[in-house]
Amino acid sequence: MSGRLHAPGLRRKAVTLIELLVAIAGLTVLSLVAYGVYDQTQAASLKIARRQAAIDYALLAMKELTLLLENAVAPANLDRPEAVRPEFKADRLAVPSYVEGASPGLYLVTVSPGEGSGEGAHLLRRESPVAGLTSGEAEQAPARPLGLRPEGFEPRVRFRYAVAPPRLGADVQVDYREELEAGLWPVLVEIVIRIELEDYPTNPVELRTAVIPGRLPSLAGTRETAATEIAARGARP
Amino acid sequence: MRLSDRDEVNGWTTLSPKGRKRRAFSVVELIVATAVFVVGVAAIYDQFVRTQLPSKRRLLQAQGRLLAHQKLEEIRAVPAEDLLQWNPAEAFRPIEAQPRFHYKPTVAARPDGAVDVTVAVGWDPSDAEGQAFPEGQVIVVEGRSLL
Repeated sequence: MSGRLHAPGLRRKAVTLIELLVAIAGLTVLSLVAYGVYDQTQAASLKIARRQAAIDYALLAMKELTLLLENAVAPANLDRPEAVRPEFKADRLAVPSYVEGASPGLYLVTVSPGEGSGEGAHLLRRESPVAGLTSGEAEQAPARPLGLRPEGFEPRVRFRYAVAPPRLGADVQVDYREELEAGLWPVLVEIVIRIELEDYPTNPVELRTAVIPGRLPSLAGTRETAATEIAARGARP
Repeated sequence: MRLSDRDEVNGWTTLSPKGRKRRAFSVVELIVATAVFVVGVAAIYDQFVRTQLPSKRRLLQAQGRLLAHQKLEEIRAVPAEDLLQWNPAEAFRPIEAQPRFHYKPTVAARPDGAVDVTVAVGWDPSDAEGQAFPEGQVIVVEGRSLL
């Protein structure tokens, strides 16, 4: 080896201090940009995870509430209507409903907001056996969170009730009320679950649906086919 | 490095082999380099935005599906004789509680006496009021037959 690393006649160029400093500055800027993007992506992932958890919670709670109301029994259809006292309030609902589980049977199921606020707040579900109608030795179950235990957010549920059948015009018109007097049984119950997230202040997770509690007397004798079709046609929000 | 290695070009001192002037970056090279950098950053940002879309779409589909269920239940609560005489609007109508969602019910009597009820629910991506709802944004169709 002659030690010459360049072609004869051409001098090998070294790197000056200025060039080195410029290169380091350029690399620093690029690293900062890359780290900024990475950091934002991480923060966005966390936000999305929290939002997904809220959506999961709302969907599960909605499913539980829907099932509870679909399995409800109007006191008029019970042998001893005085055995239960349903309650229909804006933030609280108590209906006799068939519950599956270790001790299946008819329970008075109460859904209400939990105590406190902030991260510990959750919706409560309490089941009290309807005396003489529940099989086995069922006892009043301790209150438990509705759905999953929420972490980092405060779910709220709101009920509205209709006592008259909807009116049909160009639209379907329903007169919902915030609460019902004792002795009334609703034709429809609207359920709204709302979760406000700090990360999405203008876009809370809000799910809304309505359920006919139990069976409608007007539809007695009718039969529904299991022909529910759900088609997602590729929304591009 | 010796001072003789330096050349004076337009007042700038460049380092170059003797007899060969070192070329600086041209404007075109700079533009191309900047474009490549911008494209790279844009691609990363695009990925960043795309990661948020599934969450948003999932929420919209869940909301749409539950709203379709709500409308079906409301229609199901109507006495059958009223339902058979109903001529719902043919256009999508906003849902009062959540105006960015629109729905269109259809009712069809079958020869066997059954009534087919379907509800299509869509989401309006624009906030513009008074504009026709784009039916291409339909996200959920639920149907039920009442015998």
